[in-house]
Amino acid sequence: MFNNLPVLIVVMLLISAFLAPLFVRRFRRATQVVAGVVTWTAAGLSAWLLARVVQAGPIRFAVGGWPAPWGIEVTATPLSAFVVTVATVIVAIVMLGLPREQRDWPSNRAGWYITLLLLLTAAMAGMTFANDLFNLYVFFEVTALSSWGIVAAKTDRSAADASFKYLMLGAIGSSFVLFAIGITYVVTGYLNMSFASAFIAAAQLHPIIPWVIATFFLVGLALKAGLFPMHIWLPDAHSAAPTSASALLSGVVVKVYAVAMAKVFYGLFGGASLEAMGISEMVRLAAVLSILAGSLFALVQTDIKRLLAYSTVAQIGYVFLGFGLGGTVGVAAALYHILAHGLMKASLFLASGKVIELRGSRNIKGFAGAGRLLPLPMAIFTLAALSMVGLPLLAGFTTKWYLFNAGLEARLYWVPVVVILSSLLNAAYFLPIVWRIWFGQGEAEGAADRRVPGLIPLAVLLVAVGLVPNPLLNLLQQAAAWLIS
Amino acid sequence: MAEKLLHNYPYLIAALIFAVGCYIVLSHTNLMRKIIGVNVMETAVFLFLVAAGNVRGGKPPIIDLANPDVAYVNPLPSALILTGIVVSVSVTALSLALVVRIHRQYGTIDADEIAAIRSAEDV
Amino acid sequence: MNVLILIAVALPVLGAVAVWLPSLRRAPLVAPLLTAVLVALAVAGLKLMPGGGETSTWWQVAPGLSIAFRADEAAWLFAMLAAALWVPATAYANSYMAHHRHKVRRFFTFFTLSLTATMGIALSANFFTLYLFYELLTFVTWPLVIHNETPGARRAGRIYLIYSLAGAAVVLAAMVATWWVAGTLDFTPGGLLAGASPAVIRLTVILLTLGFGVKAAVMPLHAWLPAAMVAPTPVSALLHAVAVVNAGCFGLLRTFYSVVGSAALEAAALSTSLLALASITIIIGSIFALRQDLLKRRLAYSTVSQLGYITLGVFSGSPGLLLGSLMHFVNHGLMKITLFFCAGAIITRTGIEHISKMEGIGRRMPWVMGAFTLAALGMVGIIPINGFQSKWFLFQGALTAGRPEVIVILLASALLNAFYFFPIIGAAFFKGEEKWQSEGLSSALIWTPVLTAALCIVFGLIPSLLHPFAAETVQSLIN
Repeated sequence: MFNNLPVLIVVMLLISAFLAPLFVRRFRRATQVVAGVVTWTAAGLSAWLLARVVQAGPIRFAVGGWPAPWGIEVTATPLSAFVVTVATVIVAIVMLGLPREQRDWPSNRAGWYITLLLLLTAAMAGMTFANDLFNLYVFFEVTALSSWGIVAAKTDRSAADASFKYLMLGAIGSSFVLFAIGITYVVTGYLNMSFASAFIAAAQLHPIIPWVIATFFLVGLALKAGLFPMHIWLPDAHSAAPTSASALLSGVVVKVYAVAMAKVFYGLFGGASLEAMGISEMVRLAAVLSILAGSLFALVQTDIKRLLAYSTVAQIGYVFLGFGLGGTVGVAAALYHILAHGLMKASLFLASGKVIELRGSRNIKGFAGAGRLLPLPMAIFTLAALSMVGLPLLAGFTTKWYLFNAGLEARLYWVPVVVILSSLLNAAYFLPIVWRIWFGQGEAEGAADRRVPGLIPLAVLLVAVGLVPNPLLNLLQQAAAWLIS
Repeated sequence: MAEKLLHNYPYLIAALIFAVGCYIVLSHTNLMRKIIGVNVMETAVFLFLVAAGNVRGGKPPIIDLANPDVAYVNPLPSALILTGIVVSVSVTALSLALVVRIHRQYGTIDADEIAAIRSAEDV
Repeated sequence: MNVLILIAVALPVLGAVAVWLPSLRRAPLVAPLLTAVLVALAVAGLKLMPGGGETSTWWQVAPGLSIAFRADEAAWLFAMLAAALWVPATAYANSYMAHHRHKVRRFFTFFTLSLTATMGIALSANFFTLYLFYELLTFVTWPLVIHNETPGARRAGRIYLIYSLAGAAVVLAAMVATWWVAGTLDFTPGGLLAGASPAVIRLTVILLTLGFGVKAAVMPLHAWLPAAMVAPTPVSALLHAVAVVNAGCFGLLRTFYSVVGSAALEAAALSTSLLALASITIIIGSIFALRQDLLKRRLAYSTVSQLGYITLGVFSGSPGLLLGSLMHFVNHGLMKITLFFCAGAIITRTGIEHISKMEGIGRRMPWVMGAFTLAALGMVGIIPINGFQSKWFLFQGALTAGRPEVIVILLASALLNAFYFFPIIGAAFFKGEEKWQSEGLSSALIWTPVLTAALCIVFGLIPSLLHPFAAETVQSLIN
């Protein structure tokens, strides 16, 4: 019963995705509610799955009864169950805002948007659970297709343009990944990661071969994850999308690619040989560049959504840095940041979406005096921003602390320096906005509707993971141990 | 060495086509050509996989129980490519749809001209 | 969990919330004052209560990172000073804000929250707690610096924030280094780095000096302090003469002796260069002060210079100098808060901010200028006032530590102090055409400086009020 739970989660989301447009014309409200219920159910099932795999060890499930290496194998490890739980929970929370967001949308668009959101969630779950490279690739493409779709969901010109840019670079990334999968298959004869990895470990391959495979994977996945310097599509795409889509793309989707990279790298090569091949070093370098460049670009933005998008470029660097540092502490830091940043970035996007709606402009000047207009959303924005800066007792600090530890354990003494520098840069672009919110002179009239659905659960979770990170981190270190072993 | 390279020429050609496709996407400003470039890249990967699955002198993998010793062509890469083609078709379809929308909204399908229009709007 | 520590650290948060109580008509006045009084009583009680020196842990965030408090000797000294001066400062702030009505509630909210941050810094039992409250102090005092919301205030706020955040980031780096070397962040009497290599110790000491040196206004990290003088005067008086700058000095003291440890400090062999840094701060600060015409800015540079006395003792690592600097830690707080109170009273009553326009002000406001004169004489080091005492102990310490050059520095500084304070006093009393009149003692603007000036004399006349506490603190820090 439990063994097919991973497949059940994916299939449930897939089926409801395609049912949504059928009903949305007549029963829009009901469709939105059902979509929400399905996502919450998926979230609940993944949480349950997580609890089970933590207790009873990972689950391997052969789809259709064909055993690996011939059939498609799905594995639920603590790592994948955790990532799917995080993704579904954040999607479910963000979807609470759908009825309000889609108020003025034609039903056609509303329905397909719900389809794309559910499809995206299903694909992310599928990609995370897959233990099979080709299956991974298929879900990888479905994730990409649905993200291109939701970026283009708005009708204005920039949306189509941004989506196209995203699509072209995304397609290049996909080709690289597919090429890498092809080489892996040609070399090892397997698509199943466990078998391929056993082959690579046993065979005396010329060192260039695993290096080429890893590099192709890295280029492809880093392109999709928006790692500097392959981030150029990200600010356009994440700022052109509707608010809920921005929250999900920045908060969740890019992180799933990072997890895919970690899975493939550790699954195929293992930490020691990654270090020996210099791949870990390459990941760390890209991560550091991303952290610093993303923050520097964010400093000069005047468009709040672009600013948040560049901040995502920087923050995805933290995740890659954690994976690149390796060790249980580093991987746990990366996983923790996936959750923490998902919560922070989703809160920031949702809260600023409300300000954009009220002011009719994405310029950060619109935040002036927003504190009096929308006290609660802006308080949560402030909380999330301070957490980004990494003040102690907030979630961002825990990430920093674990990255410090991972860096020092790996004897890479520049890690604390870079991370501290980055938090200063974060302060440099977030604090002026916070200052504007509370002390700026701006119109304080005109808020008919002050509620932003979903913001409070995000904030509660954010505070909780910041104040009580210990149980979570124990779990994550366990997950990291599974990944590395 | 040269012999080895000649022997494996499909792989080399695939890599070459891949690079050409990548170059097309990145260098051209015409959106249609970018789409063609992406297709070229994908085709290169398909070629790579088909070549990998080929066994010289192999037969189509339809099992004939009468002669069990026949060498078959590996069917798995072809199956993968079928899926890959489906994905590539949907990506192409989506990108064409977007190009149509871009053309309707900007009146051009040249990336530079679009960028110029957008920067003019921002000011 | 120690109840008194809980009151000291957490009550101000409640007080800050209570400022917004709509039902209480005078909530902005009553809540902060009540909070300050209760906190002062609680801190005083910590000394009387047995077992006050035990660590009480509130919360463990992650392994090694816990929020814990302990009222040991050094902690108590700083907490008591800050809490005791908070009471007159709050009374003063009430009168001051009655004249400068602008966002009074917001002002008192952050004013009261600053007390939490200060108490947290003072009573922290480990580096993480210290860092947490040090960071918090920046964020709760920032709105006070930019309170007036003029372009100048915003600029000052930006400078303040940049300096403070950069400083806190460096402190964080020092904390990471400590954690990596020692494996714990708990303050221990002998320090944590005793066994580490000299290079690591030197790195940590430098990071600590840079990080806490920002708030302690060690040159060249002092620029935020004169800029922050655009804040309302009660803020300048309390925060930029006592709470914030002393938090920086206390951070240095705490981390030098409870994290690095005096033995490791000696091994690092940095004390000569650090002493040079403090001496430069003392002299250059005084020279800058000479050139200021704005009274508050002159006082700010005087603070920069006087803080050099405190850091001097901390940097030296010798018990004698440390004793003197701890005496000055308290005495300077008393004197400087008096001077700022006077400056604020003058600004409020006459609108005069420039020293060049203060001719005859002493005859218009004899009480205030009397208090100012006393405190200024204390700064120079004239005998019955408490400033003399700190210098006396610093002299003695310098002799026992074998650093006679410190005496030269101190004498030169006393001379410079005289140069920049006496002209003010002279002009106030002996120039101009003003008639003698009395300003009346009913307003807190007038009686608080008189009170603190009286305390300066009391502390000066009765050294045993302070000396035993300072001596036992030194003993607890250096075995």
